[in-house]
Amino acid sequence: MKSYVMKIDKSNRYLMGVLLIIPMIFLVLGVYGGLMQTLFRAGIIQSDPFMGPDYYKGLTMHGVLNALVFTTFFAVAFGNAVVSYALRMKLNMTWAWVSGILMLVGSALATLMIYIGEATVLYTFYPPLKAHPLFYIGLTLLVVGSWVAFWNWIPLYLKWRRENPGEKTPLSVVGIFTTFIVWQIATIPVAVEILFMLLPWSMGLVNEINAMLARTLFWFFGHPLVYFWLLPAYVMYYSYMPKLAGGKLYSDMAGRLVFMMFIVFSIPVGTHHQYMDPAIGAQWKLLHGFFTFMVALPSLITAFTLAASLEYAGRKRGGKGLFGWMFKLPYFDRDRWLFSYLIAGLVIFIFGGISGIVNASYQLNTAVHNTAWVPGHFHLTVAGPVLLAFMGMSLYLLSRYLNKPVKMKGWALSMPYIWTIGVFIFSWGMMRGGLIGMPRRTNTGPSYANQDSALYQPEWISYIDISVVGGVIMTLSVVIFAVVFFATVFAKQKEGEATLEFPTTEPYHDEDVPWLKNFKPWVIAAIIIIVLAYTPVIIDVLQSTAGGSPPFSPENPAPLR
Amino acid sequence: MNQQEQENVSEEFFPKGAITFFVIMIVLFVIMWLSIYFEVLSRG
Repeated sequence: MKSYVMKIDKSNRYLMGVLLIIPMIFLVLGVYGGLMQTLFRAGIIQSDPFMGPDYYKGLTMHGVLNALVFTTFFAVAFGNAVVSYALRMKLNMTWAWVSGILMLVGSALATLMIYIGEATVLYTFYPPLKAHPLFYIGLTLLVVGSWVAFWNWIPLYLKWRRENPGEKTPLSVVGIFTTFIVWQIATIPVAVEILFMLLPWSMGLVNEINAMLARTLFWFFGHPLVYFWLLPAYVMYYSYMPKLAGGKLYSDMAGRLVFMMFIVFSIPVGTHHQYMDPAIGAQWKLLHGFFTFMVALPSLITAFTLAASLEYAGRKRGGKGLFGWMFKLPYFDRDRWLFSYLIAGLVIFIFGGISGIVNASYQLNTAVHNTAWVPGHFHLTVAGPVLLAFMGMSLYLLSRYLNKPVKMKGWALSMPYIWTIGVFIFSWGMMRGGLIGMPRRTNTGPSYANQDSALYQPEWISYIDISVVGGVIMTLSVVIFAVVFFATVFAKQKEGEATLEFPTTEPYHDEDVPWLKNFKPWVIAAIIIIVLAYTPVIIDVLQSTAGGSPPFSPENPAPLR
Repeated sequence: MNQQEQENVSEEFFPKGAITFFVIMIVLFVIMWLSIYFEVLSRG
């Protein structure tokens, strides 16, 4: 594969600057909210609010800004870069800007509503908690903006296919299209929830809402959302990490198969978040549980393929014996600092994966449902491989698009390892506490962690304290990253014009598999399975629920109207 | 490592380390899953 250097024009540079820098500010605000959660929960902060948002407002900011806003912006920015680079085509900048502006306006609206206390509904925005209509409109604009970005890439892809008949689509483009095919399908149910249920109810056009149906539509979207986060990281793992390590991708076919499997299996799985909910038959929950295990398969294939790719690289670098290659990888190479973000995320993901399998197991879920185990688990996924890959690639793209050198490379290199220590400590505390009943979401500070409260649970205290230690370390590493990131933003521009080059990996086995060349059969299979898996669920919910709920706020047990 | 040795790695590569790593990872998964399973059983 010939290396290629893409020239970056001014409009593209400004757009990517906006798409990378603004969400980083949102991310830092959200991480501040996360730190406050651990301190509130431990009772270290007693005043409510403390330096900004109160507990539930902060929890909403933490979830919405980190899990929805930052991730969506990054996926679009990364997609813009990958598609134009790998297909060697110019983006339509008008639509790229429309997409960016929609996302910006939407995110600003949603954040403002949270900040002024009009949208304390957490990132799941479950009714009957009600937010201001502008919060829902803001989220809708964010999603529509990301759709526009995707639609802007499709003509480029089709043109590339016409001009390169019979050629394999670059693996990175397959990965980005997989990400946005999953996103496009999965955001339809949540759009229905927002436009036809939450928005009219929030505006007072209807008095009641079917909370169970809304939850079901949310999780129709909510679990594929996890793959919308993970898949851009997978693109980096398959397309760039082996080269950064000094080797090749062990199997090109494995990468393509993994992406196609995600299209088929990542959506009909949402009911595994609702194992404990009424109104849905146990057989349908079991079916979604089965599909959840199916969607674990591509991650297992990925684990092996990446291990084999890294082994190849390690052996090329002189590694001997069964595991000697592991000690030859460039963990601390300043010139390959991006590798540290990817490898640290992969190590975290081993534990994120197994804890997810526990969640997805119908019976075992009873032990962990709605406990602190769950955030302990998902910080090992979304705040593990996803966050680290997104942060590392944000810095990489920023330096390329702004034509500035990465500042303080040593600190940039150390950040993912410090984060890894922090997130392991944090998640250990949360998961162990969860196993003995420590709840998620709830502010334990004034209640279960308060010696003066009748609810005091002394056996939870050590785990709450452990999660504080982890949370503080995680925050420190984000502070380090923010300093590196903004030092790079304000660094002096390098000589010459801005260019982009990805460290694109060559395959070791370059199999030619015709049935992996076309998205269409996989998308059709996905739609069939989604219809089969979700039709009975929706029918069950509609038959089992009557009437609806008036709106509530977290401040008052009485309905708002 | 000299050029010849590097070429040998390319030609003869079999991912025995990755296979072993993968098996160990699956065993770890099984142990962790069973630990929660027995935790649930112990609750009666």
